[in-house]
This record gives sequence, structure tokens and C-alpha cells, in this order.
Amino acid sequence: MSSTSSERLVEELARDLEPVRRVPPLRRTTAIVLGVGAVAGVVGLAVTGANAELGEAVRRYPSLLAITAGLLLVAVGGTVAALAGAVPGRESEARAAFWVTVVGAAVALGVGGLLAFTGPEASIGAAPIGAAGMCASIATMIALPAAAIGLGFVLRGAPGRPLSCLAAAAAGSVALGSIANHMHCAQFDAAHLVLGHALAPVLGILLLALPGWLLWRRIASRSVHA
Amino acid sequence: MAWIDEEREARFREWMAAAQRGDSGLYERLLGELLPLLRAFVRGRIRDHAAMEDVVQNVLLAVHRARHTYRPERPFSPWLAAVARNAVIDHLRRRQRRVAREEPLEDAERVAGEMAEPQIDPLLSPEIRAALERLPAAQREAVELIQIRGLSVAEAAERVGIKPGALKVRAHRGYRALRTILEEGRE
Repeated sequence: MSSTSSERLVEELARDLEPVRRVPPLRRTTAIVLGVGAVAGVVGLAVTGANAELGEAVRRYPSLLAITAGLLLVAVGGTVAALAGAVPGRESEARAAFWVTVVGAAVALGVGGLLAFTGPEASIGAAPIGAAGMCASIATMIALPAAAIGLGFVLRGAPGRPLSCLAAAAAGSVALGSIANHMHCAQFDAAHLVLGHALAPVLGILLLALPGWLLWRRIASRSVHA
Repeated sequence: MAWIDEEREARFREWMAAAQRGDSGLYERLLGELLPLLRAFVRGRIRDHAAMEDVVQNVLLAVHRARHTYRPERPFSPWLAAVARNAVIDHLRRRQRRVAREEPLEDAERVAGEMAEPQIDPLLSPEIRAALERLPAAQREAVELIQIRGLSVAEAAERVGIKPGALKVRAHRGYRALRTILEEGRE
């Protein structure tokens, strides 16, 4: 192929150039996704009702606080990693946010799980396994509005690693949803807390990021493959 | 990209912002000035000289597709470097996959070509007709709609059900492939 075809490509790309709508600033999008997630969490909590014994439970089970802190880090880190990863040139922010997400997951699963399984009051296996699935599902449902915005931004952007960005967006949104569910749920069984609360973002990745990935491939095949 | 000096950086930011508003003249100047820089960038990463220009064109297409993600208040060169790097990585990944399944892919394209019965103008020379028939179905369709049926890019894109930019890309790749086929035939 000769270099003249590159010059011709330049002409073709410039011909009939249409205006484009810029992606919004990263900070604003992050604030919108987290804000929508927080509002959805409050609404979800208003609908399902907060656990009346939450204050007492937090004092008795330190794992609840560790899981909440971990989920909060996953929510912020995952959202920023996803949104920054979808914009070329913001890789350093995406990388930093990714590590925040990893730390959050370690706090929620490692510290929270350890405290839950070793805590003197924690019972193991008292809650049915289905309840964990239910809690993770509630977290995912609460996360839907924020996830839609986050995933939409990633799909509209130009991510270098689309699947990772979609997974991070889904995990971040569902972590926020899981915090809301955490404040509603009255099950303090160790396995339940880890499976249904700390691991809820994994269900979010499966239910939200994978369809997003299929959509991405469809969009990419429509716009890229000749 | 370290080799974009401050003066050019400021100019590129301005031109890219204008391009986002639809200024095709400044966009052409921008891509024209970027071309040698992108060649140098790709040359440092792709050893195969034959593939280099191909990759440069993929980077140009990637810049075009990602142009809405640039924000003028941010520096231009890190954005460009990231787009270029991603495009090079994509190219290398695609090449790896293609090498792994080269024969089945060729067969699939041939079968797809046969299934989508070509509606090639019988007045074309047999040489061009034969070359058109060898194109992948999607590229052939784009070339036919624009060059043979005389549709505009927008009309052809609407007919195919894809974005105009994507159709331009298909047609461009089709022209390249056609030229290669015709040159091979003449050797």
C-alpha cells in the first residue's frame, strides 16, 4: 500500500465532516453517576425500609463497617476507573482509580470477610443461600440508573480496554446499590454478608457488564469492521 | 507525544476543537500535519514496513472515530498518543487473531461473498468485475453503492444501515483492496 492512500484517507475523513458532541468533563460525569447512584440508593432504602437495628448492629458487628467502607471505595474507584478509562489520555487517573477499587475489594472481602467469619457474634450459615442472591439482586436493581449512565458513557467513549471499563462501571454502580441494601438488610450471617453484600458487584458485572460488552461489540462491528 | 512542541500543541488543540464543530478544512490540515508524526510513532512500534502504512491508516481512523472524546481544555498530545497506542495494540491483536485463523476467515469471506450475490454492473470491464468479486462482501457493497450506483455517502450508509463514517472506511478499504488486486493482476 502506498503512502498516497494515507493522504487520500485524510481527504476522505475530512470530506463532509459532521460536528460531534464532545464527551462531558470527567468530573461532571463522575459526579452524575455517583449522584444518581446515591439518589437511587436513598429511594431504594425508602422503598425497602432501613434496618431499624442498624445502629446496634454496627456496634455489634464491625464487619458491617468494613464492608461498607470497602464497597464505598469500590463504588468511587470503579466509577472513576470506568469513566477515565473510556477517555484517551486519562489512563493515569484510570489506573489510580483501579487500584482504589482493588483496595476497596480487599477491604470489603478481606477485612470485612475476616471480621465477619471470626467475629464472636457472627453466625455462619444461618441465612439461606437464596437470601444472598436476593440481596445481590436488590443491589443490582438499585444500581440500574447509575449503571445505565456509566455504561452509556463507556460505550460512547473510546476505551482502550472496553470490557474492563464496562466491568468497572458495573461494579462501581452495584457497590453503591449494595451499600443501600446493606443498610436495609437485617441478616448478619457471615456467609450472607460476604456473598450477598461484599460480592454483589460480581453479580453486577455478570448481569450488566456482559450485555454491555455484547452491545459494544455490535457497535464496534457496525462502525469499525469493513 | 514528546515530539509535539508547544507551538504545535496549541495549534492542534485549536484545530481539533474546530474539527469537533465540523470545520473540515482545519480538520484536513490537522490530520495532514499529524500524518508524519503518526508515521514516526508507528515506525517505532511496528517492525514490518509493509504493515506500517496500514497501521498508520488505522490510527487515522481511530483518531477520527474518537475525536468527540477530546476536550480542548486538556492537552492534545497525551490524547493523541493514547488513541494511537490503542489503535496499534488493536492492530497487533487483530493480526494475531487473523494469523491464527487465516484460512477459515478467507473461506468465510468467500462464502459470504458468494451468498450475497454481487450485483455488479455488466458494463464494467471483466478485469474490474473480477476484482470486485474478490472483495469482502461489505467492502464490495460500499464500493458498488458509491462508485457504480452513484449514491452519496449518506445515502449509501442509510441503505446499508451503518454510520456514514463507517461506510467511508469500508469504501476506502475496498478501494485499497481493489487497487492491490488490479496491480497484482497486471504484474
